[in-house]
Amino acid sequence: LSRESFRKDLQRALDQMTGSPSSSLSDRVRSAVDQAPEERAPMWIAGAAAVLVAAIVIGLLVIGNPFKPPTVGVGPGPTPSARPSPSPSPTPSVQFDCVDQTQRFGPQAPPTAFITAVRTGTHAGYDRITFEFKDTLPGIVELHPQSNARFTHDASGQMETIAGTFGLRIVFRGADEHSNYSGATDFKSSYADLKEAKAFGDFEGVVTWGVGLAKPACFHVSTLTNPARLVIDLQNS
Amino acid sequence: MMEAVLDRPETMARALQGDADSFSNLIQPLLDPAYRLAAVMLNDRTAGEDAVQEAAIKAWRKLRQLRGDMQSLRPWFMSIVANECRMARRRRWFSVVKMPDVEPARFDERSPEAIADLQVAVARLKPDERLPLVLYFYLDMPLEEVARALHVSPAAAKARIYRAAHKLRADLTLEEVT
Repeated sequence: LSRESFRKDLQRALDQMTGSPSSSLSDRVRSAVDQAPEERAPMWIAGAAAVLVAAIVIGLLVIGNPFKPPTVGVGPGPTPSARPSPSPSPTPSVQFDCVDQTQRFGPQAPPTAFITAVRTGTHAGYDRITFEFKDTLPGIVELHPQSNARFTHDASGQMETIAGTFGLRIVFRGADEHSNYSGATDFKSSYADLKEAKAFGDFEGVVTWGVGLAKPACFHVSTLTNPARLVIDLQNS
Repeated sequence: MMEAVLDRPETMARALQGDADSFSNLIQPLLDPAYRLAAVMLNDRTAGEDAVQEAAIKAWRKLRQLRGDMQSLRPWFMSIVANECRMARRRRWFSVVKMPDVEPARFDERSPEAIADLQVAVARLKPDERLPLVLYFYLDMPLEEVARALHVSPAAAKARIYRAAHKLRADLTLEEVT
């Protein structure tokens, strides 16, 4: 009887503490699992894939014959791109950029996007930092690569150098980090490229993060929904 | 609900072949208890949901570790959730709060005040003490599953449950606990 009464009391107390999970939890989990990169292939598959890729590269080199003198065209050639070409990508479908970039997600976006979670991770070919928002993405996201890992705190103006040799400054305009986010504001890692990610400002709708990197920033930005997420992949090879 | 899933090894087989939908179906019945575990461990409902989401991603990536053993799915997933809660607590070190001391109750009390005291007492337990208590008393998991989730023997799990329960209710005996 004592045990059962204890169990009932405890269940009542903890039920009050936890409530029920939100109705969207199931969809959140399903969506997250759907988008999670698989890392479950056995090593022999990775080895076979590496051999296959090597064979394709060798085949392309033989067919392309890089030792053959180049043919000089006559007349106007194709206009070269003004943007520096990115270094080779480990995932051919992903194009990494290495220059300042501003992404606009408005104007339909509401004035403020509330950050609810920040995560970092590493994958084959890239390190990742993910910002999750309560309802929608911020109106504007700016990405500024820099040649050092020195960033300015928005409120105080103090400079701080974080781990890493190079940096990427991420600025969210129309965002808020203090209302719905109580997680870490400084992530240190031993990933190949991303060494540290730290919050440097949350003031008047502008949220700033500094990312310390091992090499010059080349990144790819994508968005995910349900919940709204901004994903920044940093080329690590 | 749990039994219904346990009777579906083909869902596990499809998940093992890389079918994310099948994996989501597999863990669907576990999300509610996983959330309750995480919410108690973190004392935060939102953080609890985040921990469950992260745990689901990790479970999906590590599914092969289970070797198709459906009987171990629940304790295995709960141990991943518990581990995710540990990591989440490390990340939010600044949110640690000092809880007031509460004397363990000595008799059957069900007043709102007693329930509130019990909540405070649970929150004061160390995470490693809270975990077996929640798995056994709150989620009603059998002792063997609690032991698997804690990666200890059933006897050790029983001792941990007793020690934690004794902190909340001093007059409980080991025999009464399990």
